[in-house]
Amino acid sequence: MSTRFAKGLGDRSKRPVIEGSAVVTRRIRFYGKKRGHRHTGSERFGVVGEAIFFTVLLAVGIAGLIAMTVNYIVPEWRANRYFRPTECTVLGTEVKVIADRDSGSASDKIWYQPLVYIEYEVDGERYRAKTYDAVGRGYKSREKAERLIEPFQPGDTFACWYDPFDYRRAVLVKGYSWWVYLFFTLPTAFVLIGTVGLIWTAISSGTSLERRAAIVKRATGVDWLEPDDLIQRDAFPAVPRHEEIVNSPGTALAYRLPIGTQPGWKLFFLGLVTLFWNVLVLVGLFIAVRGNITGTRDWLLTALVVPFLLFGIFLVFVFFRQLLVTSGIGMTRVEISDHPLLPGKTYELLISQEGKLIIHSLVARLVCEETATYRQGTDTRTESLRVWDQEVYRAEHIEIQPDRGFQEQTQMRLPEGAMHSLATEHNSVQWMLLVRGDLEHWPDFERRFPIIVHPPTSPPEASG
Amino acid sequence: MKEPRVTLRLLSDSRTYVPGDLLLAEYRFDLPQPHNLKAIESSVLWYTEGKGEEDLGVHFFERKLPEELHELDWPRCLQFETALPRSPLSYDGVIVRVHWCARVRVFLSRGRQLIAEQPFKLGNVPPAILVMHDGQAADTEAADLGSAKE
Repeated sequence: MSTRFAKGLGDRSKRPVIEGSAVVTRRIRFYGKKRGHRHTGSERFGVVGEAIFFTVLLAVGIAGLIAMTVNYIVPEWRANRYFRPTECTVLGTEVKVIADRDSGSASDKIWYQPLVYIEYEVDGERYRAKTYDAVGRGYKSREKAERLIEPFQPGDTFACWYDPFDYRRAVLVKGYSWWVYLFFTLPTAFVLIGTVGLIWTAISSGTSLERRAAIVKRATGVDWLEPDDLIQRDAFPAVPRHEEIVNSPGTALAYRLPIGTQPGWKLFFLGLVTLFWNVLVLVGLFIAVRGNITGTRDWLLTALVVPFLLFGIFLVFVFFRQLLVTSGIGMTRVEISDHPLLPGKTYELLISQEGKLIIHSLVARLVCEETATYRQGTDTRTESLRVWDQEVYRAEHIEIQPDRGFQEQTQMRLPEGAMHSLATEHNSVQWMLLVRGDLEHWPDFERRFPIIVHPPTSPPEASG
Repeated sequence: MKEPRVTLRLLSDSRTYVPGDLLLAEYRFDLPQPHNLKAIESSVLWYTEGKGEEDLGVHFFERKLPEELHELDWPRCLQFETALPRSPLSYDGVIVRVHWCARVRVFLSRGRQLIAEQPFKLGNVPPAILVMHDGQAADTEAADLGSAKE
């Protein structure tokens, strides 16, 4: 029995509480990437930190929204909806230079605002204004600002619109700036992230890990579209579904196992990568060769292009090799007498290979792999490790004719006490049959056929 | 001053259960200042451990509030029970491990918590060994990787 205060790690503790052990928080690493989604400090500080972070995001978002609304949306909307039309006479033009002190580099500091001096009459009184559009927009290019005011020559008459609440304000150009609405997405995103983050922090700070998991389980427990899926999930939690494996009947045995990765897709993606890489290399090569011809030689580019080109040639080789394997080597078929599998049980297997081939050896292996996914810094990594690898079938020196494929039946026994298939968010235990062919004149091939192992109906006695 | 404490025990002779077994647990908590109690959560859960991120699944969860406990005398003793599921079984793999435990959390005022936990095994899956070739463990690799494990 154990009792302790959950200070420090508390709710977010990743390790089980061990009786008699001290609660030790990990030291923060100042070098390298932090492995895993682990917490290194006090939960309370973590919650406060999160709350501050999301509050700042929310505040920045709200401030941005207010600033954009007040400075751009409202003035344009008022000018378009409520300003009244009149006529004005142009007195002169000007491009105003605005220095933006908040910008980073020197070139970013200068903006050019087009301005037109106008005179207009409202209710018998004459008013003068220096204006252009409703928001007083500035431009990075002086030429553009000058182009905008070019039509407004002194003495000419133009239409303008004045503010009915302040006759001294008027505009020469109406309309909406679409880019303002585009920029609206940024503060809106800040507001959304800040709000959701604050709600999540508030919910999770007072809620245990188990309670959150129970809430998620309840929330995801109802699946009206696939009731069968729900039944299986309830019957075998954390065991992957097996329906997709048993939906194809075999010719000699009960089920035909689907292949893990379709060779066609593998070839397609390999082709895309090869094409993308080599197009980039060819562009680099073209620039390097042109530089050499025109005398503007770039040694660094030339040096970099060579290894990239070699890798591109290697990719082409791998692609054509895969093309040969996919198109030239016939289909491999595996059928099984029952599915899902149970530890300690024996199953009939049918191994079938098509194509015009001379096979040195055709081997089927029963394999179990553990797979773990973890975060290292900002990377997500997956590691797989084989914990069971057993040859269940071997045939040697086979010559297959195209009109008559090779097929043979054998038996396979799943080891007693084998772990069942497991699929959780970041961890899995996967069972599969691997069929590997060593061929004459062709590259070797290996094809995977996933299988699902269920927990035993009556567990074996404890070993050792 | 007497410290608040919670104890938890599984009412079974064995720490190994088979799927479908009834897990019966008893917890007892003693609080010098009972008004500090905010809630009690009892749960039966599995979690993964190893190289990957931790995954967790709750099989049984119960939350009790102080008003539901007022009729009990101090120290208070409560039980919970649940029929264990068919999976996931406890597993001691090389980079993936699955553990089961019963856990009680007592929430006190000012954000303090007491936790009591009892691990147990579900099923009898033997430990995995790195790469078996026809029943033979690759000892050298296993030793190398075993030392590299966290």
